[in-house]
Amino acid sequence: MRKSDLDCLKNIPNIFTLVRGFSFIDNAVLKDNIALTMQYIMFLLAITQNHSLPGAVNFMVYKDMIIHTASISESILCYALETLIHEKRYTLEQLKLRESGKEYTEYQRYKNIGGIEVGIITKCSKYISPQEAQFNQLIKAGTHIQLLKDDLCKELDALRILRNNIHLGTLDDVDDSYTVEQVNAMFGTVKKLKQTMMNFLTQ
Amino acid sequence: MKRQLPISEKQTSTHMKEIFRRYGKDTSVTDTKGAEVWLKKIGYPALADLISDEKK
Repeated sequence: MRKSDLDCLKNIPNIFTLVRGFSFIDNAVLKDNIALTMQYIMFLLAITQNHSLPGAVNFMVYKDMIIHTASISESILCYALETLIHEKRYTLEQLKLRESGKEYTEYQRYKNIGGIEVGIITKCSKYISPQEAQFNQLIKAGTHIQLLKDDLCKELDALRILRNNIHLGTLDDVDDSYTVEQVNAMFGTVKKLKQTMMNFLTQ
Repeated sequence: MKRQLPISEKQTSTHMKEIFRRYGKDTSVTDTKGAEVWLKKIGYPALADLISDEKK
């Protein structure tokens, strides 16, 4: 049996077909990458449906799906914000995306009416593009410009936090508690995000 | 007359050829309908909607 003749692949659309679901994205490479990830998520689902897997493996498959779902969400949000900047509908200043952890101080001198000089030290950081920002910063920027409503913002943040479980060294508990319900909720979040971005970018 | 593809689709097409060259052939499923039915049946309706072709 050749690899591509596996029975579990019989329902999975090819990449070119999956790309069509994201035609609101004008970046061909990003569309392909999302389609590749979607196909892989469906492959993982097919594996769990067609095989009786050990519980721990099931958990890890769910975790893998969550990580990939988060990466799709992050990429769609990043693309939307980049597009809004590119189309000059918003500026970097309006998005308030700043380089984190690299604050510097700036000294400015002012003269008041009486001619006495006053010095002010302000804490500053550089503005960064969405592509340079982290997921949590993108969520905040999207919320700030009201691209993301409060419920979607919370859902994306929950997805981001779960995705961060990829850092095993930071975990306090054994990493074995992912559920089908969580995975389903995450797919619901991406669906909502996709719809929101489609509406926003095409208006 | 051959349909003129927008730039982004042309890029995709070229890119897909490159993917196939690297990894071999893809699945033969060219419609999302079957996958949507399958995903709903196994309890993943949101994923079914997510892969749906928005132009339908």
